[in-house]
Amino acid sequence: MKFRFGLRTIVVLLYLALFTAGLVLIYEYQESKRNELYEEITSLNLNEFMGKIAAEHPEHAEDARSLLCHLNEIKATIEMGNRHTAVYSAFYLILVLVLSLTLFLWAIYTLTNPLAKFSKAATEIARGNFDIQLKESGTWELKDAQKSFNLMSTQLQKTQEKLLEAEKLSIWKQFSRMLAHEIKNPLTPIRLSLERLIEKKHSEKFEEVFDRCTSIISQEVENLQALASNFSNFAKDVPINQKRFHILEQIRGITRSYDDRVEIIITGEDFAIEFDMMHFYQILTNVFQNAIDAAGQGEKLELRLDSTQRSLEIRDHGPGIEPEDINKIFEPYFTKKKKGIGLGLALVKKLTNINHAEINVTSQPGEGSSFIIKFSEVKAIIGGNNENNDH
Amino acid sequence: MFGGIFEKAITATISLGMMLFSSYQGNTPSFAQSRAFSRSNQITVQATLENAFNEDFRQILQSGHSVAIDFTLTLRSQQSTEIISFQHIAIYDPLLCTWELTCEEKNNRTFTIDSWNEFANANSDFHFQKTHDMETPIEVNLVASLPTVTMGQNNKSFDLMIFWNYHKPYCNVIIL
Repeated sequence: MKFRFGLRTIVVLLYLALFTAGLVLIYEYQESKRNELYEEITSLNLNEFMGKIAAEHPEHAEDARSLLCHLNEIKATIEMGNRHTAVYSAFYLILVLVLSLTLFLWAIYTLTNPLAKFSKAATEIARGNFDIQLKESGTWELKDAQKSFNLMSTQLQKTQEKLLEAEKLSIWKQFSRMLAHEIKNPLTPIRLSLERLIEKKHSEKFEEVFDRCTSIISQEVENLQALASNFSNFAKDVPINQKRFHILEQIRGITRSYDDRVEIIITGEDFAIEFDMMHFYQILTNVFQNAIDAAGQGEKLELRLDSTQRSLEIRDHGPGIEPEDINKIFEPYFTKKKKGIGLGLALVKKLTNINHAEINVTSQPGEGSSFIIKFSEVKAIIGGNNENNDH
Repeated sequence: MFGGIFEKAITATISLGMMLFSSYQGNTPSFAQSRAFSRSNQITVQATLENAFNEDFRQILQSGHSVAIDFTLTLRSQQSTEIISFQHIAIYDPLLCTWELTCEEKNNRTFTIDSWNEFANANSDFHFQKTHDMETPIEVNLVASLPTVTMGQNNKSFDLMIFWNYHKPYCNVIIL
């Protein structure tokens, strides 16, 4: 674990400094008092005096010697005691210091460790993981704080679940409303056609009416099928089969179907991409259709290839997109068209992303819109197994 | 091994404690000018103790009790190991203010000295000679230590090693 100079270190150092200073002061005081006493006793120097007595009274020489020996022994005992006290006091003080520091560290760890746990848990909450509970331990204050934290995370989790539920419900409501609307649209002409057929059952013009009505019914059933197909395509997991191909040839093949409806101008240099060809087709047809729907038939559509940027720009000269709508156009079910369910561009976005490309749109109301697809780099190919249509 | 580690831990703790809390530093004895040689089957070991006796020690040596310094000499060759113990025994005459020092390794020679400095020098000097039949190389190891003495009317025991901070000075010489 990385050491950081924090509150805990400051408290420990402060404790150590104060405690040691206190011990040193007490010890110094005791030692100075001991030394004063010792000096008082050792200043007694009777050697010369006793020497004189021994010289003047040789019969008492042994007594004088014995007395001096006794005095010296007392001095030595005090000296020894003094030194023993000094050394052992220092030894025991060190032991006390180590022991108290250990206890202090244990206490401070017990108190501050929950703070580190709080910090970690708060980080998890910030990351959106509300399923986190702290184990209640330590003093009652800490237990209270842990209990409050756990309550907070539980409430946050519940709120998140409720929000998700509400969001889901909102999406389903929106989806159901739209689906009902889209189904109702073809059902009305079908019902009207059937009523007309019944009404004209015995009419002379029945044959003529029959042909027209069945044609309408057939057309609307086709519309319903297309609607179901669109929903199905958007909902299912799309398999991806990327191949390497040159973009220009594919674009020319796709634009051929639109030649009679719109004028398409292609400029720029060709380049190779790695993409699912079916997805590429779906993306382009959706964007083309969107542009034709917006600009109207007979308008001009410009396609610009940029081999340096590896991008394809599709520009129409339609009414453009309002600034408040520009961020919503790739959202599912967003549409401004009378006919349409708002899944076309959402599907385009989805297909672009799964092929590791990106699509952006710029628009000027009244002047038209530009869809720019940026393709990823082509991987180096060894052996050429992935090569397809690469010239 | 564990005994040695424990002893070192105690010594280190005491040194740390003394450094932190006490102005009293004690002595830091060591052997200086240690040498050993072998000539004509006679082995000579010489060493001098330094920083072993300061004023603190003087009071003890003047107590009138006999105070000894223990020397343990180990002679180790490939064939054999010989351990010999010696003492320097000092006793003070307070009336004459003289020290009587007996050095066992010097064939129990006794010196009478009236100066503390001379006495300290004589007590620090270790000089040993012995005839031997050991084959070289011989490893010579000399360790000095202080005994426990009993003093006062209560016969209280004091470990004199406290004056050396429980550190035993030693020297190691190899005679080739």
